[in-house]
Amino acid sequence: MGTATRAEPVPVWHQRRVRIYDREAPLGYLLLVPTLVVLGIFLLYPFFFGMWLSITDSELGNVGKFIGLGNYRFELRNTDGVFYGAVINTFLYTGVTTVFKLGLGLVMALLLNQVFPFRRFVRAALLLPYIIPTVLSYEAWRWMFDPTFSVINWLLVNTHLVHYPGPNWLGVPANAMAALMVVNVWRGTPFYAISFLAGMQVIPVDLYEAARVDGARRWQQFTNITLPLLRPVLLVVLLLSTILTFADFQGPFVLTNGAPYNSTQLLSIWAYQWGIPGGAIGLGAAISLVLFPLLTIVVAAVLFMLRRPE
Amino acid sequence: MSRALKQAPWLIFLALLLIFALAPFEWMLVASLKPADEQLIRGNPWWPDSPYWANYTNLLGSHTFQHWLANTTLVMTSTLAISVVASLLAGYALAYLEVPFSRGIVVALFATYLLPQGVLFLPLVTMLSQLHLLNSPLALILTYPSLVIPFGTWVLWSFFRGLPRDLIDQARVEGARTGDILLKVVGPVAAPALAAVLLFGLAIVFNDYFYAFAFVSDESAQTLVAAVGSTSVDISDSGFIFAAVTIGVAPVALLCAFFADVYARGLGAGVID
Repeated sequence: MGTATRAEPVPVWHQRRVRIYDREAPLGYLLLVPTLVVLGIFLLYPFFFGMWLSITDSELGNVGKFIGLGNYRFELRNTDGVFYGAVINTFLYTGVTTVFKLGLGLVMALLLNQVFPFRRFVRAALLLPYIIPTVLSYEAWRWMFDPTFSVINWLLVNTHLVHYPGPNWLGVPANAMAALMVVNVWRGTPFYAISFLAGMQVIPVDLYEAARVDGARRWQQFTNITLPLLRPVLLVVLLLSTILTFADFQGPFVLTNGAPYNSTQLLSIWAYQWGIPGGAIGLGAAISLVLFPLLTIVVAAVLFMLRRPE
Repeated sequence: MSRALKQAPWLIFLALLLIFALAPFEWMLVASLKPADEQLIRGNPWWPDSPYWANYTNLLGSHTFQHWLANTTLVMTSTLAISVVASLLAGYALAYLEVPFSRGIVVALFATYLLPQGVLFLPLVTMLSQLHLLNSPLALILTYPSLVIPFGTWVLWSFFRGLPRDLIDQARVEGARTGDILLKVVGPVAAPALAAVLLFGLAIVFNDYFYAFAFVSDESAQTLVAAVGSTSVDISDSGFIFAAVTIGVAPVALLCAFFADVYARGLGAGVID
């Protein structure tokens, strides 16, 4: 059939279509211009410009001269330990919160995939922490953890769970880090849940029915059907989330800003503190660029863990 | 009965999750309804004794607050307009036109999320300062689309690829111009995907504090979120700030409640592909 039509003389409309296709590439690129220009100027260029800044002695509002790897040497050899502390904290913060967000997000998605009253309301309510601007909600969390007026402690003390005045959430290093992680999990879990839910809803129901006929238990259905079919969603969500958490700035900045005693210092905050209040843009850029090779390690780890089973 | 018993632990867990998710908002709302001298000190901090509305009336009458709202609206609408148009054009081109390297461009778009704001903000501050754009809402209007467009293009691209090709080919064969195809054929069909892009953009712009805070420090040029974040809240005017926070949260919360499904589907459409 196909060869028969090809042998016939090309109809007029088809010729026209071929001509249009000939002009497709230029038109396509024309339509891509706004996107490529915006991304080129505000993503790609700053990235390379940042690399250049990191090897200069630039200050705020003033591009300096080339100084080689001086900024990197300054940070890597610095003996106060803040930089290496920030590296460790960044990994710890990303690792711990990702495990919790993944686990809670899966459970939340499984729950929301059930039929129960007020499901629409519950779904919107659970999504809320993710949708609300970080700064606004972290401002509230900061007050809830306030050393003097903590309303969490008010609750704990009044239910006699702890003695007055209760734990100092943001003033003690270990507590501050834990608080930072709790709030990140609070905010990030809905993103996992809603993405997993979207993934679960496209899994064909007959798969589960077939499994039930074969006598598979709930847990077996989950590990043999749900999880493998969620793999692509898991991959994208984990990638996006680890990248964003690894370079997280705004939440930790509002909640602890590295305090107390740099115990919650993260690379992004350390870069900011040098770059803007400290005025040393070059050094700040060098610190933030350290994020990049470390980030590729994290991304490689995620890709490795979720590689397609052979 | 046994079924209900089996479900009980799950329902309890769901209730705990709900409490965890909503408690900060409840407290914020209560705090915004308390006078300064009562704030956090007397009475039950989780419940207002009698609602105190002056925080809201003071806030709405304040010129600074009106500036914040105006700046937020300006930045938001401009960013969304630029992003949606750029994403629509790019998504269309990548899905329907035979652009060389289109696959590579799609992959590159996703890869832009490997460049976190934390790496870009210091060079951007320097660039914007050289252009004398620091402290102007224009700094945000120019930079925000770069955060929305990659995702927007990606969502529209995957949405378009799911549509039957005949729809476009038919219009093309009939000699329709690209502009007409976009407005009259593709645009209306793509409404749900466009809604997802709009919501995503809204969430990005509304959520961003990093750029807003690093590029704009003048109080009168700030957006609501940046202003609230950088005001050092002291105990005597905390009610005022929490009223601002509540007003900032309310529209997003409503949108979220109404469009949670659209958002999920849009996200799903992007992610699952």
